Amino acid sequence: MDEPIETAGALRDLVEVDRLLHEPARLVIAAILYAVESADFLYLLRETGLTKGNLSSHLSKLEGAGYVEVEKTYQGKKPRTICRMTGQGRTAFAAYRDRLRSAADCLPD
Amino acid sequence: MSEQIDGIIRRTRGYWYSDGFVELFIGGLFALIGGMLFVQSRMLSGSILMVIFAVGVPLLIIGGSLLSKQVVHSLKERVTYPRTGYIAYEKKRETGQRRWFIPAFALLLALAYLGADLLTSDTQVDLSRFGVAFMVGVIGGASFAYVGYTVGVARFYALGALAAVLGVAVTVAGLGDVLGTAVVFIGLGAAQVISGALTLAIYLSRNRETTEEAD
Repeated sequence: MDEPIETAGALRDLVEVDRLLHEPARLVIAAILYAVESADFLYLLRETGLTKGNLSSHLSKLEGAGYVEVEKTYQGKKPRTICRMTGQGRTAFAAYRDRLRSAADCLPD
Repeated sequence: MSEQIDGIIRRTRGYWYSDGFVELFIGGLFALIGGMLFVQSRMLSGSILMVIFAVGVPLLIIGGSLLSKQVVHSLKERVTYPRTGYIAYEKKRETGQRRWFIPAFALLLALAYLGADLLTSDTQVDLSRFGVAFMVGVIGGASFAYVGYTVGVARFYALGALAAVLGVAVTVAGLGDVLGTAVVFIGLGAAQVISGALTLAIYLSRNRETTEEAD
């Protein structure tokens, strides 16, 4: 009797999932930055397949929410934009992942 | 979706191995250590050269390990980062995968020992001979397999299998500790250099240098 209630609870949790992270492009960016200490703009550009403008726009949204920090530096004479996930971003991403997992575990095969 | 996220994370962690530089450097180091051990196995015990080599091999291992990250990083700075981007990795944390690694490794060691026992059951081979070469092969094999699993790089499984097979084969062949270990190191070193060179060639053919433009 308890099982359907738990299933419903886990699925209801999905409704409250972090919508900023739920957007596919931002989710990919967040997953990459979660796995590392930092990554540059070029790496994110190649891995996401986004255009420069789109990537910048998504990074700005993540930065605005306090999930990501963006720092402009130079490697020699070449510009390098370094992106890193903040502690707040890591917590939000971990919570998002947990919610997704619990919901997926509750669904029948 | 959850599996896709896991895949992205694994792929990002595997980026360190995407250009083959790690295998080229570590493989070269292994081959050098193997070469030194091979020369050592041909020397008369008690000679001055023998003493120099006996001290030189551990120094080479320690020095090579300390240098590896800096050398590989500097190569990546010139070749990899301008082509496919830069990543800085976090300091290693204790994960669930690490927790089960030791029991899994112990199981692998036991299975390798049992396998060797079966292979030698009809022969006069004495299992007490199982020493450094066997351990290097099996530990090397487990380490490659572990790296392959954590970063999702399939070629490391092949290197792991080769290491374990080399360790067992050299022990069964009864080459002795020093010569046997030399053969394992040379074999593994050569395999890594080949694997690294192929990976680098493929990487370079697929990726041209680009520069990040200011947005």
